[in-house]
Amino acid sequence: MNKKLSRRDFLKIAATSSTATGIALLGLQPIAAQADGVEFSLAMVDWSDPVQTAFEETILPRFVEENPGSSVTVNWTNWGRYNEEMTTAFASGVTPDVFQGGAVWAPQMARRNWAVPLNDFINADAEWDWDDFPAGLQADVTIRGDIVAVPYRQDLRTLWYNKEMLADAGIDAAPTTWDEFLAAAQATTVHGDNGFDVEGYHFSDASGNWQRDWQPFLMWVHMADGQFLSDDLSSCALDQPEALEALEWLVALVREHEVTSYPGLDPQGDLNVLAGRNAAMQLSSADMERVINLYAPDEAETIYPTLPLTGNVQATHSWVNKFFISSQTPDATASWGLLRFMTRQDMLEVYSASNNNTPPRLSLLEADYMSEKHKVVLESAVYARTFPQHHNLIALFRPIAAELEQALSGNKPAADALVDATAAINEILEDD
Amino acid sequence: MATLRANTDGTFSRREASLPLILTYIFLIIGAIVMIMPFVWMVSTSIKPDREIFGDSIRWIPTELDLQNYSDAFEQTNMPRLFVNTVAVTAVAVASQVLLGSMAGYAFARLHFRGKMLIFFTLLTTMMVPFEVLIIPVFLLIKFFPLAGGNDILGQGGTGLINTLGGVMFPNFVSVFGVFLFRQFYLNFPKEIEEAAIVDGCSRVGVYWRILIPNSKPVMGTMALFAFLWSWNDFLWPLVVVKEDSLKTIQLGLSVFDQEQGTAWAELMAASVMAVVPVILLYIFLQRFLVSGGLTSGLKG
Amino acid sequence: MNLAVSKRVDWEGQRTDWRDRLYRFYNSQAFVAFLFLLVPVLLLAALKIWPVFYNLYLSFTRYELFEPPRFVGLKNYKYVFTNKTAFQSIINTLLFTIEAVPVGTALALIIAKLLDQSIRGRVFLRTLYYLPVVSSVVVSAMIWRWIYSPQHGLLNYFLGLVGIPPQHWLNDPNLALISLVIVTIWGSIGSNMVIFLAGLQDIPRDVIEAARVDGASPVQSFLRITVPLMRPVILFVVVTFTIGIFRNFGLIFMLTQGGPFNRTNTMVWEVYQNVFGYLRLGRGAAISVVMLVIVLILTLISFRVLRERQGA
Repeated sequence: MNKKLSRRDFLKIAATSSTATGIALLGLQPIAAQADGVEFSLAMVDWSDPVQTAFEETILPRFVEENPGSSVTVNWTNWGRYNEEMTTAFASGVTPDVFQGGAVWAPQMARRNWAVPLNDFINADAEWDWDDFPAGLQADVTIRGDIVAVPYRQDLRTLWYNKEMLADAGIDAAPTTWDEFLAAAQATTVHGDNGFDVEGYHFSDASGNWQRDWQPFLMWVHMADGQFLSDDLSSCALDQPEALEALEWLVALVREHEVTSYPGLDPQGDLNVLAGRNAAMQLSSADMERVINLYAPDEAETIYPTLPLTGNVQATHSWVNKFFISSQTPDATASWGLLRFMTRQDMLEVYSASNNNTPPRLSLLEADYMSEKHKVVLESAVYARTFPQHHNLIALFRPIAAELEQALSGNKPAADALVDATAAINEILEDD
Repeated sequence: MATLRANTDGTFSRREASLPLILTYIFLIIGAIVMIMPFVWMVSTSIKPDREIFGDSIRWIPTELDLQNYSDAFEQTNMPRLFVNTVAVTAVAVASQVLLGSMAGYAFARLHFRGKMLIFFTLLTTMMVPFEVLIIPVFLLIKFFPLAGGNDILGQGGTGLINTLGGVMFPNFVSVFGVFLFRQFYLNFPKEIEEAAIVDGCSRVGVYWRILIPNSKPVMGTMALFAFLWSWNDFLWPLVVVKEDSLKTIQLGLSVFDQEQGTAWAELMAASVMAVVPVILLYIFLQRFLVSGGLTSGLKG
Repeated sequence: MNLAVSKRVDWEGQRTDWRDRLYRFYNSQAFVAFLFLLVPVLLLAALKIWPVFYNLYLSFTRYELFEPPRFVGLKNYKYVFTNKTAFQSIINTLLFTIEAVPVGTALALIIAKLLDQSIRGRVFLRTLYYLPVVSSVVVSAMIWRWIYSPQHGLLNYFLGLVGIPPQHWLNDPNLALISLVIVTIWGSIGSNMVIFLAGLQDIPRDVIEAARVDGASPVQSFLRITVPLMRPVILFVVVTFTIGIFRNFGLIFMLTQGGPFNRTNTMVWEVYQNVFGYLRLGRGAAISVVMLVIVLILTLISFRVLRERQGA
């Protein structure tokens, strides 16, 4: 405008920007060309500070030490977008060699041939010891005879409660049945001016994650002895009386007994609702213990786990997280080397201890880091159920997640919500 | 015109002083406060220790300064790499959109050739097509890009431009908006200067290079600003194309703090400050071009 | 022009016929246009035109990337219009537009008008209003999620001061869409304002001055003179704003993921879910096509209105 842009300026700008680009592009290369040996890429979704530290300071250096010349690039991501991320990874043909996967991934990976079957590796590797993994977990990763993944964590949830709050309300023993649970929840709930000061039972957080209601609901369905899909996986079983009983129970907890708020209270940063004393009971994993020891050590002597509640049956749910080897890995044998290393007893202990995960190996039950509380969590494995092995579970969850919201916020009777969810899920099943 | 306007407005404000003027100010200032409050809150959160973030009352100015959040954010996101990637992607987008936009704009504004209107209006129509709608075909285009990422000449066999910065850049090489903007600017550019140059024996390329380019500063500033904004702030496309942490742009990097177990608000806000400061600086530097850049000149004719 | 050529040739002193012709060809309008347009037009054809048609093709197929597309006729379109979730995404997108566009446009116009006077500090104010545009969707979404936080958020704190109980902004089915609309308006006032400011400069000052002399209040002259004269610019803003809302992916991705009750499940989110969540590219393409058709219809209507106005 005021001063003319001379050609010299223009060239200068062009030269600067292209040089910058050049430098930037050059700067990106070294990553790929570091080592002469085998280069692995690993996708990790269970991120937390200590897990990252355990990997970067212990597990991966040890691996490189034992496999000289090899190198591992780790990509950390989060659950919120992991499914989409891996789908695009396979769609584009750029996948990590080894990657973590969630509880519902094995059937999908097997169906799409995205995971290398591990039977031969496992059978030839007695030292690594597959039999050390509990039978239920083995079954969860075995799809029509193919072992498609190795579990690294059981996300096993049971009832956690604040002993002190219950005692103050005159309840001395942890609840074991739905009725005792309700009594305890009613005794501990405190209503304030703006809704809840304390939830007797914390059902779900107010996060935007669509799975937040569905996951605890599933545990209540198990306790009512209901199931998500029929045994032959051909239709949805949520319209059965057991599932309805579970949902009506939950709706009553929210709307009639008012012992839990919906949507639930927010965690305070690192403090979850139980640790922050905004709730007295919650269904949670051993992660609860980690959070409390780390961020609310004062509560360590008040918050305890107890075995799963008994509704029609005593039951809970276990989310089995696992490692897969991508079918696109250039060298499956080498990738197995990395996978077996990460899941062998000593390394799995380092990993599990870093995040207080519940380990999938029987031999780790007596590991040093396993506290008394953690053993209670582990004991509930006996009552745990896992997901049906349908390859399209993630898509099937969506209708029930939406209908749950409708029922829990009182917009729709529980029975209608489940009938609608069942219809929508059956539609997806038929289309397959 | 300008003096007249200042004059009338001046007398207006002096004579009737004021009630309307005061109301105007009150409205505008309240509005401006609402507009920037989120940013102030972002900065405020980013320098607070956690207990003040989740305290019972709201504190705008923390009682103690906690810059730890910044160093945490810097380390956990691998900020230098995010910056290098984003700068690379953005620099290419800006340079290429300015250059290609001005070339095409010149052709459409000054040259006569068969099919000009047809091509121009076809392009103009595509301005209304949101990129998000075309994500599937463009994704396939990038994946089957010939001779890249192990692909053969037919685009088979490899991964194309997926998981490369080139793949992130590709859709940003040219913008229809840019072509339109430059055309509009060159249409309004006095023809006499060019004609004189041609009489003096200057070629058409020479006219473009020696006369139009040096005089295009405002429109280039506008284009550069927009190209920068789009590219720096782009989210969906890098999300789809990039597979490795080492190639992530800054917008993707921010989500590290958004985890299942909860959001690390202080670190997230600190990282957000770092992501947004370069853009704000650039905007302040280039904003004078915005209104003068002929944004709406196309609507007149 | 001939003059120029011959002059140049004279000056170089080489009157070889082929060089003359070569230069003439090189300097012909058609060749220069070809030279200048080749790269941009090829790129745009590959990025903007071919994809439209390919999308159309895909929308009639079932395509899961790993096997070739299989023709399924209108099945995907039937899905879009009969499946509850998919159809709701169309409704949600339109609702989003209806809630955001009129208010957002009006606010931007009023602010532009107020800033279009020589008042002290207007450049500074303009900069402040534009800041949200400069910030990325990701950053904006993160800040707002924090502001909307039910227990620790700024918004509920302010409401608390006037005695309104805390709200679950992003989780309340009745508030979620409005919450997104607020962020959208906040994020777009700046860019719309700039367009309006540019448009306001084209309104002859003497017209407004004349109205003022005739005794019209500022509000009257705004409604009777500015708004009608600005009609083309307003339409332009409405169209671009609408398109902006249709393509608003980041906000949904970062804030609500389509929930609660699918209330914020917009078309672009539905496309993303189908394509990258469930690998149903055909369905995603069909939704894209519907989305494109709606955008084009809205654009056409706007320009039709614009032309009629200009003709009248």
